[in-house]
Amino acid sequence: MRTSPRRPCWLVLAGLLLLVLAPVAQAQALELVQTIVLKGKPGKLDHLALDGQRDRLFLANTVNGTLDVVDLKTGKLLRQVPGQTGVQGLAYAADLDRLFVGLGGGGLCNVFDGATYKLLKTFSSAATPTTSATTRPGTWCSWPTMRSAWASSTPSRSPSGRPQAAGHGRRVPDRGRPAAAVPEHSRAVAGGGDRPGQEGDRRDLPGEAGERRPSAGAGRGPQAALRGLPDGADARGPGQRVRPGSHQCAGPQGHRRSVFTMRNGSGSMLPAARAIWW
Amino acid sequence: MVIRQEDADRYVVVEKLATAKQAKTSLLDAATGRLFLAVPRQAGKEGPEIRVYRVRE
Repeated sequence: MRTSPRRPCWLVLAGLLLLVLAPVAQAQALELVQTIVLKGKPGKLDHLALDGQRDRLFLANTVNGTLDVVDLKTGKLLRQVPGQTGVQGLAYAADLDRLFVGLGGGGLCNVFDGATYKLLKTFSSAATPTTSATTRPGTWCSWPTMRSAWASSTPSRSPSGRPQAAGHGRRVPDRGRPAAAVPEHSRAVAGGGDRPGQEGDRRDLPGEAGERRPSAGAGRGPQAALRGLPDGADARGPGQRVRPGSHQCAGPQGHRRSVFTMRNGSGSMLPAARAIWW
Repeated sequence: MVIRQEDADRYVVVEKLATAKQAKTSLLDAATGRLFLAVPRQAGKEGPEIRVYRVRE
């Protein structure tokens, strides 16, 4: 059998080509390292969110109407929370340890505990259909709004059943905005804090369960802590709900155990709270 | 598609990575250099998938 005299030449060229291409293949920007199989029928999936501390991934499994919780450590589906029809947008707030889930079309936004994935609260708005918990700042269920809304809600309950101020005392990002920077049409009240907020103070949410300070009525009395409120305004102890139309959010470091109560003259309380938070 | 920013106005496509039909949402965890891709259930598969990619330097 006669062999082509050019064959060795081709082999050399092929070898050179491999040498050239090998580094290119290694230089891929993304390398698939893990595939985690979930449950559900074919169809649309939507947003993802991450709890970096627990290394858990959340998925809006739209087609199945579930919130899927994936444990990245074990590489397995940890839980599928049913009843999330039309789920689209997700946002996890590490400092609050809360997961916000926007349900498209229903005008609903569910708030889940970040550890137990128990549904804590559902916000609804018939006026503005919920679209995304993360990407539509103008919508009712926008992330900053929901975060503020949650922070302003009544104290949650710890697993022991004790009252727990919203946010469980976790830190929130420092926005460098002093308490005095509330909008002109809003008023702030330190409901039991030790000292006024200072510029650059890191903002903390109200204290942990058990750390919660008694009502401002103990000792100084609620009115003693009242600053800058119009006549007739009310102020109560930290973590307590205030009169309708008011708003609560966390105080800066100097008021770790206090809650700021806000009243907004415009009748829309969320933007005022957002001004504090953001 | 992986795009590298050269400077304020210049971008270069570094890589086009084939994924799966209808896979569209992803999340980058910059802290750990992982990219999560949600992949709807494909034919012959038992369910949807999460693909985890490592971002190379």
